[in-house]
Amino acid sequence: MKKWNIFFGLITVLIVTTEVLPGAIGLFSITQWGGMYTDGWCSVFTRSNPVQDLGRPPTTEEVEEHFQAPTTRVVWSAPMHTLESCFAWGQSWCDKSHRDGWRIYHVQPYYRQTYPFDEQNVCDLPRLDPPWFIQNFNS
Amino acid sequence: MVYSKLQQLISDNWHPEKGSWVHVAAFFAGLFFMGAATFKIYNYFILGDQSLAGHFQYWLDSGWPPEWYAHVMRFFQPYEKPVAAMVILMQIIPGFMIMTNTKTRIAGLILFTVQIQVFLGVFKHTNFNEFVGCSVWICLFYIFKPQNRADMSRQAWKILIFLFFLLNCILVYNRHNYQDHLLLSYTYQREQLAADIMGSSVYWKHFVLWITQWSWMPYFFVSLWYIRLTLTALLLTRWRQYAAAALLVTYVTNITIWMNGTTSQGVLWVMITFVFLTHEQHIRYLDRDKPRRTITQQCKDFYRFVVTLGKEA
Repeated sequence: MKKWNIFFGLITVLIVTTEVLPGAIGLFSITQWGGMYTDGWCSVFTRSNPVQDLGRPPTTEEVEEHFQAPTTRVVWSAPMHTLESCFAWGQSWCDKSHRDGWRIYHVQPYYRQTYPFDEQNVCDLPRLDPPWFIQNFNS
Repeated sequence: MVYSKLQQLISDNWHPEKGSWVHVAAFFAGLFFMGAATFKIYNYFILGDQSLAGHFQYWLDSGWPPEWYAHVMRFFQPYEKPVAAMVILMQIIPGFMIMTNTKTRIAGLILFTVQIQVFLGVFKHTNFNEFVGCSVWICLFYIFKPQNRADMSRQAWKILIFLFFLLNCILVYNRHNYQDHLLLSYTYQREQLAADIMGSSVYWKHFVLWITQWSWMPYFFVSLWYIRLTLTALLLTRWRQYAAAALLVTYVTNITIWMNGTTSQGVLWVMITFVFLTHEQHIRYLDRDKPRRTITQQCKDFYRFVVTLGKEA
């Protein structure tokens, strides 16, 4: 009985700290405790400008693109985002050259049908350290 | 003074041998359904950028409900606000009842009425079968469970064990579809973890990314699928409580790593396994003096059960 009391006690602590009230002790928190679809899907509108030192010369001055999270193959479900994690996901695109000759310099997150940071470029705001998300492109 | 009163309160009410952990699990399960209801209030009524009719339409467009149930959904679509309010009430009230261990059978029945309709609405999607099935199982558990836990029919518990086993089989099948059992899946899973997933803490995520660089880690991660398959099979044996405990550890770990990818699905797996395990452990404690059957005896009993079924058919 004692070993099970210890096990159930540890699981209870883990459930409370990681699922019920993670925000209370500084852990990342999404509204997963019954909150299906309460957090939203995140996407970003980006602007890229040409990088001069790469071999292939760009044909236009600027490229505007829209990336919807996730950009990788889904492992469980399409990841949900809080406003905070959408900001972090947006920042992970800054300074990435996702194809030859183009570097993203302007990122505007879009979340739950709004632009939560208005016209602000999240690349100009203080960077999260360590980064929450790492896009697999060259920077 | 306060400490001694608290100590007295705990010693008066805390009796693990009488099933206190079953009640802790009930507290979490009830709280989950209350959470589900309150977030629906926010989504449908306060912020109002989502609607029940919209969700119904998405399920219909995806072709998930059986044809006969699609008619039922279309019938209710024009009444979305009253239906949404009804769903919220039918989750928040029984959720509170389960949380406080009050008339849990009635609460289970009310919740079952709601959850089985969600289950039918997404019937042809195996991912939803799995985790909406978890919520249906929790409802069934509270329908079968009398107020006094010790009085639960052992036959009813066997049915619930089998249903729990089936749900785990669906999970293993779904993970098979995501190629968890193949080494080639390791690359894309690690890529998504880095680029799109956030765990309980960014430091925990970076730690996981760091250890997954080691050369033997792909083999370890792939082996987890086979371990999960084995543990699922063991749920039908007398080692089921240890198998369920190991599965529970994998589900909790899974949430801490893949938090925004598993969301409520991950939580429901933790919930159902915690409810299952605490009750199984309690039943075993109550039956501790009964003679244990060997695996051979269990196989013989199962064979006789199948033969009897065959004859009846």
